[in-house]
Amino acid sequence: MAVLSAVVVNHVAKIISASGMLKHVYNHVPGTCRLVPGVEQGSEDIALTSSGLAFISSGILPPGFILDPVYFSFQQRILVFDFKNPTKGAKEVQIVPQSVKEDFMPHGLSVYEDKSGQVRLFVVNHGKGYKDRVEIFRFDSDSNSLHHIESVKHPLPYSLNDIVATGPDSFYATNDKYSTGLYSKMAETWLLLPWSNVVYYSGGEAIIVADGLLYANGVNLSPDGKLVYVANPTAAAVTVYHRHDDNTLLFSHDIILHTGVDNICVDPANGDLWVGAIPRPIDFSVHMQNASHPCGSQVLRIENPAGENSSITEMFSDDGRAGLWGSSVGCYHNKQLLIGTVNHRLMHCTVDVPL
Amino acid sequence: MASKILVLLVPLAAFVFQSLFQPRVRFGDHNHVYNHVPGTCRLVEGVVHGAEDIVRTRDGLAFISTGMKPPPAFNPDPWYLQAVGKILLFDLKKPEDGVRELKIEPEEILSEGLGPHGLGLYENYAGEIRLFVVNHHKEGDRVDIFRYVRPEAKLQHVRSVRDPLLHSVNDVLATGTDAFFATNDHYCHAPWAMKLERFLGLAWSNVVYFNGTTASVAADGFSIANSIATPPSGDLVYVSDTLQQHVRVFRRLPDHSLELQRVIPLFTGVDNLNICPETGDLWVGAHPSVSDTFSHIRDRRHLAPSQVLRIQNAAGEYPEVTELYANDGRQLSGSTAAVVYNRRLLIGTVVDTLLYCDIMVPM
Repeated sequence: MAVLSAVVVNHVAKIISASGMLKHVYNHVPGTCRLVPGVEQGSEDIALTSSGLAFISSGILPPGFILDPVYFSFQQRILVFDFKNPTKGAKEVQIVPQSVKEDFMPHGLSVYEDKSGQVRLFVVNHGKGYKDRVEIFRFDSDSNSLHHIESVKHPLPYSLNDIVATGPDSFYATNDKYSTGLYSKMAETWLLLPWSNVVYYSGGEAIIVADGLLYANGVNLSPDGKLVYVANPTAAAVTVYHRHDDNTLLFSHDIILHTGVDNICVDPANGDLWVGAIPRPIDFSVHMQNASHPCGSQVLRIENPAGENSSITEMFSDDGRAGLWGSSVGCYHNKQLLIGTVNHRLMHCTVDVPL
Repeated sequence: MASKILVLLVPLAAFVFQSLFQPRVRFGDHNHVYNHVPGTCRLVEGVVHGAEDIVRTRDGLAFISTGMKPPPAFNPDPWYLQAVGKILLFDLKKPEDGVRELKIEPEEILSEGLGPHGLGLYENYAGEIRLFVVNHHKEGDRVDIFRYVRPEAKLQHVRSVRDPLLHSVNDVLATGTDAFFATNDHYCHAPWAMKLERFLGLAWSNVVYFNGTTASVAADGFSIANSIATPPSGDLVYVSDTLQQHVRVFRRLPDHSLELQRVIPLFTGVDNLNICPETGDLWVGAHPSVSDTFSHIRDRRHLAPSQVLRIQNAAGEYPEVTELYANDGRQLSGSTAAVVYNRRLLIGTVVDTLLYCDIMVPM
């Protein structure tokens, strides 16, 4: 009896901690911040090319949540934002052929640039009927369009969240849940079942490379490709893995961040991690059911993520008053920060503080 | 039989749970502190025994109290007991000059042992500057009033105010050449009683007004009335309550008693308050984890988080709170006070050091 109550209390304590219920969120900015006009239906993930062009996925209805019906009117799109011309804002990218858009719900993104300068965009697509797959596009800057190359369908990536390209058609991807139904996903969350994993796909084959995770969410790669980072909001940490030559992963260490971490952006210049997070996940759950309920946002920067003494700085924090609700990603480029949200707006900040 | 035991046990467990968790939540152990700065920051050289309070003149001359010895009740690290109480000057118009120690006349004030805590500044348009210093003198708490003699950079003692109502003084707010408000952070005198007073959350701490001749209680019912400030208009008085984690906004009545208007919740261990005379903004030094600050006082190796908040529209119904600085203790431990002048920020601490920052974020 005592053992059972101890287990229950322990579980409840974990939920209270992960939900951020007891947290108070303060407000501060790294410079001048303004909302990017015209983006109101989400900017869940952002992926950058080396020249400072950012692709943004918009309009997602995240699986596994009870949603306010207002979200069902969202349009699913890929947007592009140029850090070299921030005042031009974000504009929609054409998708070729149009038929791809008939079954298109973009989530995580990743950019792959090959030596010839070709830019590929990998997009996690929640197809209708729980048919998750990865779409690979080629970006044509002259016509501002994404040309579809292939759809990667495989049973192993089945509950996709994010993706990081490792070659022209290979990638790591996170399965954020084991279950695929709405209520089974919710049960998996509340019972804190560690059934989430990371898979590696290449040439038609896929393998599980990390398992037993509470919630594998964002995934990214160090600039030299030797480390894989996975964000786990329920564990409130980013896990660092060594990448072997055969692409399997070996656990290195956890970077505890005490917040609902989502996507990871890697600064190619120095390997810093920029992590978008939701400081009070409980507010996010309510925001999903009620679109007018505010939610906080946060962006953390991790210097020296590979080493023993990583340094964590909070670059942005807001309790909702800035009008940016539920940040999921923050990407840094040339003294600017672009912050995306799951289903709300997009914010551009100058970074005036020293890094 | 079993149900009778349950009826007794459940409320008892609830009571125990509540009294175990409530103080912890009040003392602020639940929030993780992230690091961030408003611009380039550097430690000010030559300040090693704290900079508990800071006040500044309209033209950017900052007075800093240093060398406060934590009372025996807090079981302080012996290192802090080596401190010598002083008043330092930092000119925010010339930050590269750093701090300098102010001469105090007569000499006895320093040789007797100055135990400086909170500071208050009186400045009139004739150019007279008076510094009010809460002095934990060995014979009992008192408020020392000094005239600042600018050409010689010295503090000339004018008078010492002692009163039975001033027994556990923390901060002082000058309202005239000889008048002031002061906070008593505890009601009890004995160290063990003060500890119990804090733990049980007894709200017996108060604010006292001294009119130049006599003292009276202006407001009470605080858990820990820490610091006190007033906007340029003088009609409102702000008082911070560290344990209740808020700032109380009072209207000042003609008899100098204080009438509560509203409360600004800050969810942190609020320490000293400073008003920016140009904007009316309230600048707050705070302890995100009061229990870590207490541990830091017991052992200097134990780090305590620091935080600076800026409150715009503090007098209005919807104050806007922004966190300008936060640190987990590795750069600065136990922040108590913040003063801004022309985008230059000084942050003081109980027993650590003094931090200077250039503010690069928009204000």
